[in-house]
Amino acid sequence: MVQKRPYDEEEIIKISFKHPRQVEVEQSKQLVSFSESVFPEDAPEKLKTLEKGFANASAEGDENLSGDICPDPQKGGEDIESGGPGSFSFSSWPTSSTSEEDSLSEAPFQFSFFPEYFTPERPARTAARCEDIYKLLLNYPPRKTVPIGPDHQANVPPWVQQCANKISSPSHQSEEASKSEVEGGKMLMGACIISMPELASPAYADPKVGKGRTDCSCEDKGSYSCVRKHIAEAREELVKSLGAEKFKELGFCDMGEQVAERWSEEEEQTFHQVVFYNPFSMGRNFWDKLSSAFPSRTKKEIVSYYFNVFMLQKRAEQNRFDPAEIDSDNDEWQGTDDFGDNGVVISEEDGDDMVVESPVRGDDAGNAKTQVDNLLECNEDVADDSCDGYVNLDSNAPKSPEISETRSEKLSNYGSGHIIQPRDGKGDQDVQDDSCTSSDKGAAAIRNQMESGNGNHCLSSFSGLSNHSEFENGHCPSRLLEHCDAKDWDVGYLSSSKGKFDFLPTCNMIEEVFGQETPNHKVGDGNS
Amino acid sequence: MHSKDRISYFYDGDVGSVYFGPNHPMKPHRLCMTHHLVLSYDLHKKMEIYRPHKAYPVELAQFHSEDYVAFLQRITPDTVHLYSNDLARYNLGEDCPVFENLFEFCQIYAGGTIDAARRLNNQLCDIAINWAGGLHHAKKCEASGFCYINDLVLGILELLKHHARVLYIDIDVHHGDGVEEAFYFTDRVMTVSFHKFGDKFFPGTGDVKEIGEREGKFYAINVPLKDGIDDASFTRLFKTVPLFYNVEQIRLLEIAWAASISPLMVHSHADCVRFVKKFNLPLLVTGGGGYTKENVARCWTVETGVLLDTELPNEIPDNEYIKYFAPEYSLKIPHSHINDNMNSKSYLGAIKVQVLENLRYIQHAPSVQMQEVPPDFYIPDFDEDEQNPDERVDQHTRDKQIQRDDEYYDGDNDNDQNMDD
Repeated sequence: MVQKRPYDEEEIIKISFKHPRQVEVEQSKQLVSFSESVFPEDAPEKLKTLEKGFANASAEGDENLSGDICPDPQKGGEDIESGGPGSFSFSSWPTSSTSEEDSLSEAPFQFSFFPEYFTPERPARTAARCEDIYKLLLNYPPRKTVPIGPDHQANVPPWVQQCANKISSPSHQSEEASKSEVEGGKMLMGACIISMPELASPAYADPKVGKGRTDCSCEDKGSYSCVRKHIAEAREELVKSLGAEKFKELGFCDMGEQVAERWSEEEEQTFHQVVFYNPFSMGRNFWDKLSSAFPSRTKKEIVSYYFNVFMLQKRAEQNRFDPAEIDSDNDEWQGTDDFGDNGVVISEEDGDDMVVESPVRGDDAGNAKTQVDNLLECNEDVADDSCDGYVNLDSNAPKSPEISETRSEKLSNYGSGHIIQPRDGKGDQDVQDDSCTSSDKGAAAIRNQMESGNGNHCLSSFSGLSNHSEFENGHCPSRLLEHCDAKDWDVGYLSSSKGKFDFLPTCNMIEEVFGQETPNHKVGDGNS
Repeated sequence: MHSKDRISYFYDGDVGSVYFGPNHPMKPHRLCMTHHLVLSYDLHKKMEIYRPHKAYPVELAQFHSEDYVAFLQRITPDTVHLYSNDLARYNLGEDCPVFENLFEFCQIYAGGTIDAARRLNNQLCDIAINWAGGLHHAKKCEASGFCYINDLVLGILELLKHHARVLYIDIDVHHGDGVEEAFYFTDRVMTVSFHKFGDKFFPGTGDVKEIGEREGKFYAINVPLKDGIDDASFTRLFKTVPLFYNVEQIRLLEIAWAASISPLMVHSHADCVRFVKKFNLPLLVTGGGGYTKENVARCWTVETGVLLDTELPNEIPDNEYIKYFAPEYSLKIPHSHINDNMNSKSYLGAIKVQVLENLRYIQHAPSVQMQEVPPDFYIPDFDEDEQNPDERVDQHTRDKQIQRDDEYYDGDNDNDQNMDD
C-alpha cells in the first residue's frame, strides 16, 4: 500500500506503488494495463515515432530509457495522431536527457521496446526482447496511473449558461433578489467574525500593516520572564484591537500557555508524569493514558494543553538549550536529564557517530520521580537511525517534508540521557540530550544561579553546557532553565520531596556511572 | 477588478485541537499558529474573517460516496477494532488514522472551502482563503495521504455551479492526485500540479504524461520535478507554463499548496501567489501539506500578506507561539541546508516542452446551454452532529448560540461600493 508517511528514514521516499486499481465497470479501462500500454493499436507511423524515441533513448546510452514514449493507451488512433509524433520524441527527454541515475529513478520506463515486439508488422525478436522486458519490469514497475471509473471521478454536470442577471454584477433589479438569496444561503457561507474593513480606512490603505517585533529593553532580555511579559503585552494588544468577544470567537483564548490557567497544578503535574512514564519507545502510548488520567477532560482539551503549554515549554527549553538544532516537531525532545534512569550505553562508531543502545529504564522509579515534569517523552528509542538522523537531520536529509518529519519523529528520542555525538563539525550544537553528568562544580554553579533566580544566567550556563559534545559533559536538566523563571517554577512538579534540587541525585548518578568531568565543563562557556 | 481585493478568510478554532496521533507528521495545530501569526501582524484589519459552517454529510457526498462518508461519521478510535475490513476498504488506519473528532475535523476544513467557494460564487469577495483546507489526496471512496475528505473537489464542484471553467493549481510537493482523478474526464476543470516525482515518491502518479482522458484530455497538466529545485527555477517554471497566458478562458482559480518541494521555498510560493493574483480572477486559496508547524505558519502568513498586497516585516511580533520561531524569530525560514538541485536545465526544458505540446490541444470554452442556475446547496432542517451533552460545548457551538442573530449579517452589503466591474 502506498504510504505517505514515512515509517523510518530509509523508507521515507520509498513507497511501493499501489497496484493499479482494477476497475470493474465496463466502460472503465485500466490506465496501465500493461498490454494496452504496449499495444498501440494504430498505424506503423506511430511505431516509427516510437522507434525513433527508442532510438533516442538508445543513443543516450541508457537502455532503461524508453521514457514515456508510449502513446496514450486509452484513446484510439485518432488521439495519438492528435498528440502528434513530435510529442513522443520530446516526451522521451525527461528521462533521457538526465543523468543515468535520474533516468533510472524515473519510473515510467514505458515500453518503447514493446511495440516492436508486439506489433504484427514487426518481426518478433522474441528472446532478447523478453529478457529486456522482464528486466525492465523488475526494475521499473509499470507507471502508476490514474484510476478511473464511477468510484473515482466526480460527477461534473455540463456547463449551462447562467441567466445573465444571476452571475454578472447584479443589476438594480436583481439586487434585491440576489441579496435575499445570499442571506438565505448565508448560513452556509460562514459566520462572520470580523467584517470587511472599510476600504477607505487608513489601516486598509496602509501597505505595511503590523509592526514587527522590536528589541526590548528588559534587563533580563531573553529570559523566560521577559518573553512571558512580551507575550502578555501582545495578547493585551490583540484584545484591545479585536475586542474581547471577537478575541474569544477567534479562538485566542485557547492559544498559548494561558491554556494552563484552566488546569490545576495537580493536573499539570499528572500530565507530565503520564507522558514521562509512558514513552513510545517502550511501546506505550501516553495519549491513551492521558485520556484515562483525565476522565473529565475532552481529547480536545488534552491536545490543546499538549500543544499550547507542554510543547511550548519544550520549545522554550530547546531554544535556550540548543538553539541551532531546534525542531518543534520534535515532540519528544528531552532537554532535561533523566539519563540516570537508563542504563544507556553509548558506543562510538567510527569515531563519529554515536550509537545509543536501547535504554533500560523503568526500574529507577526513584530517579524517574526526581525528573522534572517537563521531561517529555523521554526514552524514545534512540537506537539505530534516529540518532544519526537527528544529528545531521538538516544537513544531510533531502528536504522533502516526509524526511524532515521522519527525522523529527526520531529526533525526539533523546529521551533520557541519550547523548548523540555530533557527526561532523556541527559540534556541540548537536548534542541534544542533557544527561546530567555535570560535575559538582557545574551543578553547584547551576544551583547558585538558580538560587539567584536569574534566568539569564541559567540560560547561558546551559548553552555552555550544551556545547559539550562528550556525553560526560552532561547538562543538568534543562528543567532548570524552565524554572529559572519563578513563575514557571513549580516545586510541585518534582515528585520527590527534594525541592528544586531533585535533579541532583540524577546528576550524581551519571557521575557515578561515567565519572566526573571537570576540565571541559565550563559553565557559561560555550566552548568545550 | 477592484484596486483592492476583498479577502474572506476562514478559520475555526476547533480545528487546531485535533490530533492525528503520536509520531504522525500532520499536526493541525499548525493552523492555530498560522492564524495567530496572521492576526499578530494585524492582517485582520484588511480582510474579513469567517468561521465556516461544518459541512453536512450530504454536502460531502456531493463528491464522496455515501457509504464512505457514513463510515467516517460513525467510526471512532474506540470502535476501530470492529471494522477492520471497512478500515482497509477505505484506506484508514495508517497514513490516515482514525482519531478523535475526525469527522468534525473533516467537516470544518471542508466547510471552509465550500463556504469560500460560495462567497466567491456570490461575488461577496475576490479572494477567499481557507488554510485548513487543501487536502488534495482524498479520493471518492477512500482516504489517502492524511486526507479524508477532498475539500478541493467539493469547492470546485461548488464553483462549477456558477463558473464554466475552473483552473486548479497545486504546488504542494506531492502530486494533487485526488483532485486530478476526480476531474480527469472533464474539460471544465483544468488541474495543474507541480510536484516531486519519481523514486517512488508518494503518491506515484503525476507523470508529465498524465494529461486527462476523454473530454478531459489535455486538461490535466503535471509538472514532475526532482529534488532540490530552487526558488528561482520553480518560479520561472511556474510563470512560463503558458497555460497562464491563456487563463482568460478560465473563470476561476483555486490554489492548494503548502509543502514546498524544498522547504526553503517561501519566496517562490509567495511569487507564485503574486503571479496568480495578477490575473484578477476570483481566487480560492487553501493550505495543504506542510509538517514543520512553524514553517507552515511562516509560509502561509507570508502568502496571506501577499494576497493582501501587504508587506510584512520580517521580525515576528510577540505572540503566544513566539517560542516556536526561535532562534531567529523571523519570517524567513531558517536556512539549514541546500540540496543539490537534481533538476537540470535540460530536464526542466523538456518538461516545459512537453507541457506546451499538450496545451496546444486545449479547446476553448465548452458549449453552452440555457438553463437556470442551480441554487446554493439547500440543507434540509436536521440536526448537526449529535452532541454529547456531557461534552464540553465546543467553541463552534457556543458561537452559534451567540452568533445566530448575526447570521443574517448586513455586512455583506458593503459590497455595493465594490460591484463596479
